[in-house]
Amino acid sequence: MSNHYLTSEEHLPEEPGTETTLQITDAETKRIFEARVRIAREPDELTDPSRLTVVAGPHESVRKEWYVELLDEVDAAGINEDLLRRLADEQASTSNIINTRSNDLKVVLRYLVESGQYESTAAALRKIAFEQLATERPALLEAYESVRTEFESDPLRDALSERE
Amino acid sequence: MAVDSFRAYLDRLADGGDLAEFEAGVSWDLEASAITMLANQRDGPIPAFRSIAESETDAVLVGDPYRGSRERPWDRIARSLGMASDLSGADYYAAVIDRLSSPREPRVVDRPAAPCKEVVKTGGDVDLLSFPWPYIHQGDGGRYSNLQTLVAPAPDSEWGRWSSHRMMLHDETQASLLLLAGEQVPNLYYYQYERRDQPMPVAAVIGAEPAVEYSADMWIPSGRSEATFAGGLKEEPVDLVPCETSDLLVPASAELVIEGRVLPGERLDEGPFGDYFGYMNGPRRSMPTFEIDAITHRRAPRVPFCVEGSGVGYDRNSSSTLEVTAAGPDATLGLRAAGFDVEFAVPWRFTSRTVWVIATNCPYPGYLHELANFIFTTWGMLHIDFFVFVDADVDPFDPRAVLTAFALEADPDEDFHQFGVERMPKVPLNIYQTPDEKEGADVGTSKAKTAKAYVDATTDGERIRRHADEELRKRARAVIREAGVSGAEFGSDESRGETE
Repeated sequence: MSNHYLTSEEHLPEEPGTETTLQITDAETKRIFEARVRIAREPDELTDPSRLTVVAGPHESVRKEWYVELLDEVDAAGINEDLLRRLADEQASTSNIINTRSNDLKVVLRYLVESGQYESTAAALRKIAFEQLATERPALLEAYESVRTEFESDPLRDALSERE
Repeated sequence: MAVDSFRAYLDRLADGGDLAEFEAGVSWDLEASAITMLANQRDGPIPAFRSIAESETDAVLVGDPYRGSRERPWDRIARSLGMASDLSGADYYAAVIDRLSSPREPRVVDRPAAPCKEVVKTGGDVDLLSFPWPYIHQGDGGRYSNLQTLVAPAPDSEWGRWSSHRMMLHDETQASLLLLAGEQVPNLYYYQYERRDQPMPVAAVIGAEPAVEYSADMWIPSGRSEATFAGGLKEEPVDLVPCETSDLLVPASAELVIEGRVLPGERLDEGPFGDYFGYMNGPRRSMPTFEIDAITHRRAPRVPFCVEGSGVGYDRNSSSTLEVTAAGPDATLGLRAAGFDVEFAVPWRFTSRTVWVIATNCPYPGYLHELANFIFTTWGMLHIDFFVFVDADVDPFDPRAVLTAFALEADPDEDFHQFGVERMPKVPLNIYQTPDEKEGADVGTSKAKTAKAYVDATTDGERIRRHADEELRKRARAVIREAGVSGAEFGSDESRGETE
């Protein structure tokens, strides 16, 4: 993987600096892929900046130099959307309780609750887990969000559920 | 005898001194295309790059293998089909039309007998980027395979439909295919498979035998099969073999076959690309997604590519040569079959696909308009902008003869006809319309519209006589020939092989 990427101006997010999914091309191999990134006009606005050439204009003949920080390559993260769909499908008809056994975790969670930071150990666990996943596995959450949206807007599934 | 594989074609080029093999390392990143463009511009031999830097396979890149020579663009194609090497343009067309008139059914062979199955990769072993696809022009949206035959299902033929559609490589298993609605395979995808929300199985065949490549550049009507016309061209059946992951049949001698599905409702960026009009052509378009399921290939596959854009203004690459040598004879045959009194329909080789010269009789008033209407509403719908009609005895292969007819017979007041003002479909790759005028470029079903035109450069009566008396011309030629000058120097009559 090189330290120089290209993208089209039409793919850029409206607000630089925000985390976003961006289609980029590796300038060396010309491989085209999507990644979770942050972009900025200046390199010192990012932790680990690489060059990002942004092409623009009707024939993409205008080139502007930006900087990009790769957080998580969507494809390379190996998100198996079929697996996600199956799990989401199964979840519709099973319990949503997550079990885990840990004296240490329970003590820490109860501390957070009894010190007034969360209403319950379950609320604390949900909040902390999602925050951690958003930081470490943004592509997974994004893929799941898209799968969940599909499920919520599937009229065929709704019709079949009603028949059952 | 016609060659029966792409590598046999390269051997035949080498035998004729028309192949330049590069043993030293060359990069797929602009270098191979730059060398090819130089060869194209200098009318040099066809370059074959045996050692591609940073390639995981031992593939050989071949730059514009079907480019014809400057003066006689049909010669290499004729040799590949086992025809005589000294044919005039008219004789070459007559020979191809004769073969197309005798199509032959293909033959299905078992997988072990198919050279294209020497290496088979499926599932997780599939890696498109292990091949040295060229990055052709600075500013292209990606690396391309742009000299390939796309095999797709055909509702009316068991042999499938073959056509030419370039693809831009994205990653290990995905590419975008340039499918422009209005053409047969794109219409099948957009209006049948995608409407049913079904993936369309396809196979991209790279380095097919020449007869396959030529037939894929022809406009074969529904109900007929490119495979049978390829058999006619080579005077032998084309061997086909089943795909690994679909029911499609692909040419068995192919160098490389990429099997997969065009997914419904999914798009990837395609372009910009240095297109055949000679300019970097943007913006990037959203084109159907080709999901790869399997790759099969010969060992050390020969991978051809075309430096599009180097052909404008000259006859200088594979696609412009294939227009003249494959699309032209096919169109001539098709127009005659449709009842038109056409001698030859020939792409004006300096403009790639946009201008055609049609040498024709004009049996009744309104005939030329009828002929133009037929082509503009069928196979010429997307790419052709205008025709130059000349008399049947004007040599359409001879630029001087055509320009002479144009200058002498086309009256600007009466003979320039605009056709279907701003109502005719136009390929959105054209450079003279802005993206707004094309009404968006995000789908293959472009709404681009323009006018078409034709120029009537036929005589309205008696042909204007040349200055010199014909007997005097003949005597002058005889004297010059006695002095040792070849007949080819005399121009149009002799170039058609009509020397006395």
